[in-house]
Amino acid sequence: MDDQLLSRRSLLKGAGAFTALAALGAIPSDIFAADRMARFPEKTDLMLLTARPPQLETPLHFFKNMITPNEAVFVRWHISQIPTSVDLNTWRLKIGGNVDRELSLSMDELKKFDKVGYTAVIQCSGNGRGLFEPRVFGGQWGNGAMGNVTWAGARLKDVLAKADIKAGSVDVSFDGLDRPPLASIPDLVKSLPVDKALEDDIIIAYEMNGQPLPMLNGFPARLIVPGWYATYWVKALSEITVLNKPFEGFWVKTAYRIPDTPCGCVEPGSAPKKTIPINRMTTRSLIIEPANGTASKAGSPLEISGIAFSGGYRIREVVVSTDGGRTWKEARLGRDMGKYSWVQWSFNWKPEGPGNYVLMAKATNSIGESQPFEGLWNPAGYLWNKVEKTEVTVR
Amino acid sequence: MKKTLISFLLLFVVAGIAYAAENNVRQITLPDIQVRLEPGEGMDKTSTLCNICHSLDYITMQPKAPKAQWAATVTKMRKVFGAPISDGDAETITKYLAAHYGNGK
Repeated sequence: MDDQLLSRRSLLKGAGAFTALAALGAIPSDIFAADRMARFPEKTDLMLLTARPPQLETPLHFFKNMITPNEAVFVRWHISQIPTSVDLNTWRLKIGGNVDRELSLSMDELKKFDKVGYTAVIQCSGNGRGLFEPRVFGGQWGNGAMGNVTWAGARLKDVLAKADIKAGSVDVSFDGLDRPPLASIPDLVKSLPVDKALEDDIIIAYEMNGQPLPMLNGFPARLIVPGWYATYWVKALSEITVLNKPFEGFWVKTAYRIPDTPCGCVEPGSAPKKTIPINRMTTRSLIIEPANGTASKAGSPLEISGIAFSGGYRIREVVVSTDGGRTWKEARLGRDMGKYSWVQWSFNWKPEGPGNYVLMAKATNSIGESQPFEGLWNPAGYLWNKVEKTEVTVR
Repeated sequence: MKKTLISFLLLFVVAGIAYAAENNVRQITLPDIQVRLEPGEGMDKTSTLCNICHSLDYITMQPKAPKAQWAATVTKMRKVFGAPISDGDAETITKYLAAHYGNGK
C-alpha cells in the first residue's frame, strides 16, 4: 500500500514536467493516462476512469465539505459524442408527444417558470462498483461517484402543465444532446413513469451551486430526480416526450436494471430471475476523516467524521464503532439541509491505547432503512452501500 | 452628422449582438488522452476496433476476468451495440483480451 502511494506521488510530482513537455509536443499524450488523474475543462484534478466518453471520480477529501464544488463533482457520460459546445441562442428544450401544446423553450423562457431549489446528493448507480466481490465489469468506481450539490431550476411538472399533458399518458422520456458514435448504438434516452415525473421535487436545473452547470455536468440544463440514482438525471437536456405507452428504450428496458428482490441483490455470481429499472438510492454513510491508513498519537482525541444520506428520507441516526463492529455509539448529526441532502456527522473518540483500530459507521433513515455489513451483490454492480471499514493505527 | 450618428449607433447595436451571442456560447475542448494496451498478438486489431467507440481504458480498468466474460463482452459490443467487428476479428480480440486482461480461466 505504502509503495503504491509512493509511486503514485512521484508520478504526480513528475506530471508537471510532463505537461510542459507535452505542450511542446515532445512526448505523446498517453503519458497522462499513467497516473490516472486528469484535469478536464471546468473541472479540477479528478480520478480518471475513462477518457472517451469521460468518467471522472471525485477524491474523497472533497466530501469533508457539506457542498461539493462544481469543479469537483464526478463526471459520467455513456456515449462518446458528448456536447462540447452549446449556443444558448439556438438551444431549445422541446416538449412534445402526448401533449396538447408542443413547446420549444429557450433558456430565457425556461427561467420564467417559478425557480425552485434544494440541496441533493447526486450519485451514480455504479458508485462503489469497484468494491464488489466477486468483481463485476463496468465503470470501476470507488466511492467518489457522488457529491452534494445545491440545484435550482424549473419544476418539471410546471413545464409539463404548460404543455397540457393529454389523458392516457404513461411514461415521460428525456433525451440530451449526447449522441452515439455509431447509428447502431442506442441513444441515451431515459424515462420516468408519468406519476413520478409529476412529483413536486423533480426539476430541470440550470444552476448548480448558484452557477451555470459545467459542460461536463450537463450544461445548460439537466433533469434532477432527487433521491433517485443519477442515471435519470439526463444531462444537456434537449427533448422531453410524453408517451401514451410504456417507454421501450434500451437504457431503461435493458440497461440500468436491478434484481426484483427486496434487497435488489442475488446470490453472488448468479443471474436475477426478474429485474426492474433502478430507482431510489440505498442508505449510505462514509467515514471521511480520518482517512483509511491514518496513523495517530496515543492519548490525543481524534474526531471521526463523515457523511450519510439515503434515497429521499432523512437520516435518523448514524452509529460509529471503533472496535470493528463489536460496540456502537451514536454520532452527532450536523445541520439538516433536507431529505435529499447528505448530513455531516462527527464522533469524538479517544483511543484507549496504541494499536490498530477498525472504524465503522452505519446510518439509518427515517423509515428504518440501513446498511448491510456484507456487500449485497447484483450483476451490474449497483446499489453499493456496505458498511465500510477505515483502519487507523494509534502509536 | 446625422448619418454618422446612425452609423455609430448601428455599430453599437451590431457589436452588442455579437457580444451577446458570444456570451451565449459555451465551448470546451476535451483533452486528448491516449491509452496504450499491453503489447501482444491482436493488440493492433483490439486497439483500432475498440477505439471506434470508446477509449481503451474501458478495457484496462476492468478486473481480470475469465475468457468467457471477455467473449461475452465482445459479443455484447457486436450484437447489442453493433460494433463493426467480423467473426474472425472478434476471435482475435477475445484471445488478446483473455491473454492480457484475463485471470487465466
